[in-house]
Amino acid sequence: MLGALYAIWLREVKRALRDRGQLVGGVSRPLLWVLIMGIGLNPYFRGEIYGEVRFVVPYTYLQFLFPAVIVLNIMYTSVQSAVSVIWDRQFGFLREVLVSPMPRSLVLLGKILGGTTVAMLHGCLVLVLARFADVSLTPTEVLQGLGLMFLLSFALTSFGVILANRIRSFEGFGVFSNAVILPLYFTSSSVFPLDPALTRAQTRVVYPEWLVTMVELNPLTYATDALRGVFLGFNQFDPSLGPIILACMAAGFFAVAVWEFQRA
Amino acid sequence: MVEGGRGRPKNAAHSRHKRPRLVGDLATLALVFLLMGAVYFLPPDTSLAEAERTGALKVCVPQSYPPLVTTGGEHPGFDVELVSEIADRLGLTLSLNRSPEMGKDFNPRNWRVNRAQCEILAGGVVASVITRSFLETVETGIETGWAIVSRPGQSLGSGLRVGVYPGLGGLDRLGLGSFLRQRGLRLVLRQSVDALQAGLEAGELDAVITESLSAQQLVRAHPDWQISWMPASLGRYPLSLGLWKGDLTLKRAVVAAMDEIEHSGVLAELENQYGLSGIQTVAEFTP
Repeated sequence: MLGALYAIWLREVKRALRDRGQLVGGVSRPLLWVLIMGIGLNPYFRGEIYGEVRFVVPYTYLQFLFPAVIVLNIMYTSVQSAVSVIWDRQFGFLREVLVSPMPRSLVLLGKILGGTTVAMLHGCLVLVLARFADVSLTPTEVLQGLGLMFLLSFALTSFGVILANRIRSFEGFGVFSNAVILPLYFTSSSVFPLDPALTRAQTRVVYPEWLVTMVELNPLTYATDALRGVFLGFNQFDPSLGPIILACMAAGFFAVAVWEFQRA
Repeated sequence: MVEGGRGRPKNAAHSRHKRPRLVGDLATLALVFLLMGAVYFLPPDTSLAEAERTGALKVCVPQSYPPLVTTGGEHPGFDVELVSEIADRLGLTLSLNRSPEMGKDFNPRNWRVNRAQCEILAGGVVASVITRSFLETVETGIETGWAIVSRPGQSLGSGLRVGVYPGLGGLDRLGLGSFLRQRGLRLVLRQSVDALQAGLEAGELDAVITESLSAQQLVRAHPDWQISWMPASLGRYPLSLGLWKGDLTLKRAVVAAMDEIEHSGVLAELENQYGLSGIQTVAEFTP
């Protein structure tokens, strides 16, 4: 069984590595977000007079954006790797695998682990930019970060499989995944902070209440915050929330994905 | 069976590629990682280029904050000598801007220090979370916090008269006051380090507490007096040089220069010269 699991995992990884389009996306996203947006907006948040800044958090905008871009790269890769479910269904590979003695849950686990590996690889592409963004990483921080990135990748790949089970065409999946990824990303406190120095009531004065509520309800807010906690040593929310929510997301989405995959 | 959905038979693909395809895939991946790593060499801002264009490293310091900044010509202060070393290593001329406003008010906004006046702030910048909200910090290896000075053999117990000069360092004075009151010590506020010294010399005070750098200066004048850190729960912070938030290229150059200064032994020499070798003990209070 482990051999079969390995074979499915390896197939997913090889398929992704040979997909040049996915690789180009994995490189261009961090470059655009960190290099262009990060540097472009950095001067607007830099200090001009001691004691006066618009952005009262103990890091620069480039540093603030860095963990969020890791989450973005993982999101895109995880959800898009689930497109292989549609691909395999269209070309009959799925039928061949499903008639094998291997349990369906194990087939799905192999696919999800493959997608998780590729998504983590794309997350690591952003980690290479850490020195550029002035984020210093110790080996312990890298290990902790990889642990969180694994949970996030696993959860989002499972989520992608749930989406792929409902959508039958590549075009539909592309449009739908963008419609899910971008709102989730922008409402995860990725490009603007909920100032931790403010109380809950004050935050709702600075930002409209509906936006604060969306940010607080978005589970990816806590994933981004957990990575900020590890890489920058600064959390906007309770530091224990991030890992707990990520673990719940991973277990929950995988359970739903298995249930739907077995029904299909 | 088809490979990658392109309709090409698998064995035909293998015959075209002599080396295993996985090696090629991994080589592509390695190349991508290398290219991403090369981004480090792109300058993210113009702060260093601007300093190099003017040929000067402008540094704002308070008028006097011994031993970090002094008015003495031969020994201008630890931080002043340090930034001078940094300027030398960057090939720039040091331009010192002594600001009488710096340190006179709790709110740094009232110091009116801005980017046009200086690229670096020195002379008592504490590398705390609050400071990092306004400035980039490069630690200088010196620590600050509350320190207690007493005459030799003085035990620290309830009922002692303790002189306190909080200074303008921004250390947690409320926490200190509460700590001392809980242990039954009698607080006497003094207006300067000199007043603390006079009180201890005259026997009006049993011990004095102030910011550690000033406390070390007291002990330099009276080598028989004993000095200890107050417990770590009251806060201990590294001192640093402050750079404007977002000036990443200048910060990288300053960090590289600091590393060089440390490895060449110059930093240790400066610490010895200004009596900043550190406090070795932590005060123990008896009930």
